[in-house]
Amino acid sequence: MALILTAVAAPLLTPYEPLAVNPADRLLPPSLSHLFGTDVLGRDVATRILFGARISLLTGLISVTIAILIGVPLGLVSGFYGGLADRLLMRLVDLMLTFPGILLALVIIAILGPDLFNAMLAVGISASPTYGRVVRATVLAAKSQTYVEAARATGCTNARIMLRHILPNTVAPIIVLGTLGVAGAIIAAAALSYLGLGARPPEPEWGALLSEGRNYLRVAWWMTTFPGLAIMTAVLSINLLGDGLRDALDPWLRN
Amino acid sequence: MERIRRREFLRRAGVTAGALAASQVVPRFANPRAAYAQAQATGTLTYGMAGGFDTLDVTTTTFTRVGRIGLHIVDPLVWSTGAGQYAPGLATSWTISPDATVYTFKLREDVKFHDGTPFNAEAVKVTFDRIVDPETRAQTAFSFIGPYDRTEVVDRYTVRVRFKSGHAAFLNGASSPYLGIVSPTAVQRYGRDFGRVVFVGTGPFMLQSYRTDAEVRLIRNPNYNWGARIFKHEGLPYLQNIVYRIVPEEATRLATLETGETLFIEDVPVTDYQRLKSTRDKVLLEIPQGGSGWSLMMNQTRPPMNELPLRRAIMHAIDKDGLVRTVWNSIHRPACSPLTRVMFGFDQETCTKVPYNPDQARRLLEEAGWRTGPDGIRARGNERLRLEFYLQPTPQKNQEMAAFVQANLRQVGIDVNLNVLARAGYLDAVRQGRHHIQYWWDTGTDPGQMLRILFHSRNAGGGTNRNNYRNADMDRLIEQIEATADPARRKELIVRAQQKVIDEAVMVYLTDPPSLYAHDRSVSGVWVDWGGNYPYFYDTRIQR
Amino acid sequence: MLQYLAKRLLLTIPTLLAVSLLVFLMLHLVPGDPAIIFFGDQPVTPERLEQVRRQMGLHRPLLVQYFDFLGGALRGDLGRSIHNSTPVLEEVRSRIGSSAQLALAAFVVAGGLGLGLGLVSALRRSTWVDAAAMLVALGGVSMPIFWLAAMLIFVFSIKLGWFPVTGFGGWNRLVLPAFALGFVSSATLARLVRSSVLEVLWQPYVTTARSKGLRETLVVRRHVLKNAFIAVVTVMGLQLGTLLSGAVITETVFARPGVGKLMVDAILAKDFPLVQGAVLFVALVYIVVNLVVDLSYAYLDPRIRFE
Repeated sequence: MALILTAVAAPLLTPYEPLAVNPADRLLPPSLSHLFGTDVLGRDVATRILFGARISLLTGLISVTIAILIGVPLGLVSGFYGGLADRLLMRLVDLMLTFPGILLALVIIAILGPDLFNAMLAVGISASPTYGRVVRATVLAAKSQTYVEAARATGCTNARIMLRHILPNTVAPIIVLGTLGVAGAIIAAAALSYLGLGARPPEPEWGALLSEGRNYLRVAWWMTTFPGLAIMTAVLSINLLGDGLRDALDPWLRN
Repeated sequence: MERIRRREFLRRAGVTAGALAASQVVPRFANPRAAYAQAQATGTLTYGMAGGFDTLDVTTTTFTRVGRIGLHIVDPLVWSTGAGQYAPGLATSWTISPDATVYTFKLREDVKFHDGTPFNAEAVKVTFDRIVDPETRAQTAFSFIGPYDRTEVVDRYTVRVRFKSGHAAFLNGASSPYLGIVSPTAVQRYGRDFGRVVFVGTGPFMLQSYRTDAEVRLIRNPNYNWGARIFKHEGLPYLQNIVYRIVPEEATRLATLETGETLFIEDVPVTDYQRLKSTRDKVLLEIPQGGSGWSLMMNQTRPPMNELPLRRAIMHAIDKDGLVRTVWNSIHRPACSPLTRVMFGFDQETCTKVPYNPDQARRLLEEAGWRTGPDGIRARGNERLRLEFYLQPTPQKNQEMAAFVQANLRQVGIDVNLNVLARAGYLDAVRQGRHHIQYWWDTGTDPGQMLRILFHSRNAGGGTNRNNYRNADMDRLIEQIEATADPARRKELIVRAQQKVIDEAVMVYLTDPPSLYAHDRSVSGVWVDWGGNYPYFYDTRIQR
Repeated sequence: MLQYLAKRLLLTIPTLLAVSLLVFLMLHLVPGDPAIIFFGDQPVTPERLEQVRRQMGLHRPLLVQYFDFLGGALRGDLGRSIHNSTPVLEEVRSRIGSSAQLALAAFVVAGGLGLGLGLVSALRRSTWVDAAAMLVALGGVSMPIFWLAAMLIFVFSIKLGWFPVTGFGGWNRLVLPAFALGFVSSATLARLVRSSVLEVLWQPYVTTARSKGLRETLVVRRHVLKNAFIAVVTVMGLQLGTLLSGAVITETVFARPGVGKLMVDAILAKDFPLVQGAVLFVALVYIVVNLVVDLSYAYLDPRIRFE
């Protein structure tokens, strides 16, 4: 929660501009006026991290949403109907898994333009087969449960059974995957930044901050340490959130 | 044409089998034993190289790195010892016709290629003819050889090169590794695999093995006895091997020097300059670079870049000193003209012509009708002053400089949108002219060639003149420079060209870089050409 | 069993075909003319550009180009790189060794760390040991490889001088890159191992074993470990492709020639034949490894049978 708050309130929390350059303040170590120091163009690192929080968290959410939007219906249909639909969809999933994610990312970015959103689209698509598989497994397990049989006996339509009786079963595994996915997306954005395909500079996305700072490791440790800590904190809290949710939703682990 | 069988290739391309490629050419040597007695080999120089490349063939490559390696394998006809100064290489003497269309070279008579083929006028002819053969797909060499017409073999050791129009810079080209002479028999024999599996010249080192994207291993030529006079000795090179290892990540490359995995590295990160400089066991080589420094091309075919006041305002709005202090760690110098300071004909006056002056920039924009809007960005009627800046993601400095330029221009009310595209998309965009702004940076030692690349209308519309600047007077001026051999006259023309492009605000000149190399204290006798591009290890020794 | 194997192998053919077609179409959708890329920032006339395009075979209709490639591939000839005319097969083959070494070593690191951390935290559930192990694992997920790699180089190569920074060949050149690449995967694995072990720890058969008076270590070794292994094998099957093709950053930082870097460079240069070759290779490895994974289930879990 605190994370989201700081992300939203970033402009109120800092006296500095995230993009304005200031040659006189180049590579200043952390001090009272610049809590996390400054970067090579004299920009305040703390300010950039605060502004970056919004971008980074948002991109994480976007990519997970995309993965869920593609993966869940896929798994649901494949698991529920079985037969030819299942076989075809699972072949598709196999194909997507076989296809190198990095190629997909490069191609999407090359076609749609260099933008963090497009990068996240690629990350989301690459992740979707995993969701599809997990959902399918859950659906297969749920399908044979007595309450589903009961629903069918009372004349419920397929669509209704799928949405009302089976979909809720998939929520727990999706939450676990999703919280991990947000973290994964932030790291994937960093990797794409490293390859020069991430956030449009000079956006202070966290991964881009790390990638920018990597050439200054020996002279300005603060340029990478603080964004690194920010990512770690975010990943940690998101995962704890996910663990909490899973434990709460899984009766086996409750006692 | 005889082709090597595939299995044999694979063997040769491999690391362990690398020696085979050399041993295949070695047996024909006259008397290696005698040669060994002459100089004691003193080990292996490991060189950290900043990236991979296309081929080892200097004739077809587009990479300066290949020139760096190739210069050890091929010998140039002449060596360049300073702007416009040349010394004998494979050619012992030469004459140039007054209109610079005919060059006659007298060649050394005691030289053999690594494969035993004797070096003579015919070899020079084959090398040069191959450059202009479309099948070869020569690039850098093709632009160095200019308006080439033909080569005539006058006698066994005299060769005459003719050009369709004056080519005053031919000696400059001939001193580069790209016009180095290759073995005509090896070219014949290996076809497509020349430069890929084998590469044969007359140089002090021979190719031992090549692993794409990993390393190139050279071994000394045990017959080498024709060192050029500009070097400290004549016989065998002192080093036994040179190993070029490809280490793209700059921090890693520096780390290899610090751990001793490499003894010499190129492209030293500017960030670590001071630290290296103060280290006692490393030596930093800093050579002001020849060519064009970092600069911005402004595409005149894309409105509103066709307006002179806007281009001039941009020139005034960019704080070059600030850029040098921040991004370049005070190691570059603020740039003045399309030529760097070491170039022949560089005009010192250009340094004071367009000073950093944001107020002046604002005034110019105001006069041109661009009014500041509520968000601080200017507009004229419905037209917002927004410029598309296309750049490639690497090197990282590209992005840092772009952020700086963007912030500078924002100060005077110009909105810059950064489009970071990988090589394919980038080249597509700028060759089609979709950019307002793009970077330029080029190394070279011939001012005529540099000016042609940047400003000649033949290179506009999809070529290298991505200012898309078309000016008949300029074209004529460049052609005159190329055809003028008389230094005083040539200098005058070059100065005039520089002033003209500044008066017309064609480009923004940002910084003049140095070439930065570093090596271990135990390495001595490294020669680097005056343009800063080709470290040469013929005189080099390693003393522990 | 044999029948199952044959069926699975047959199924790889359409998958590979689909992958190759997909790659081909996608690459052609990407803007950028290989001939223009070839010339880069060099001056060039339109005639020369057209000539090079012709030499690269790009003037032919798309379908012809694809079937040409396919025909060659069936004969075992993947063509030559359009940029440096190296045979694709040779280019890929020269990097397999380095890539396979790295992937296997990273696999060992990831498997070992993941299994260790996961087991420890599951067996000591809700203690500080559990928390610490999971913290290490999370540290792994939240660290970009290039950063971890740079830190490893700084500490272990420059400061301590234990391992060389770069290069290929010799186990001591493998340690740092394998750790950088493997650590990230180990985090996911540790979490999975932990939850799958927790799942079986209170299953009736384990409780029975315990009540029979078996020592805890023996219970774990006999009944719990196998379950953990299933998790490891599954995840690693899925991740081996990533370890091969996704190793581009590790390969770049540690200056190792590998398939990942080859593929990314080829994509960026639009070197069609090279991309095809590299992708097909990675896809093939992925398929084979997952087949092996599926077969190993039968060994690990006797309830699974192949029909």
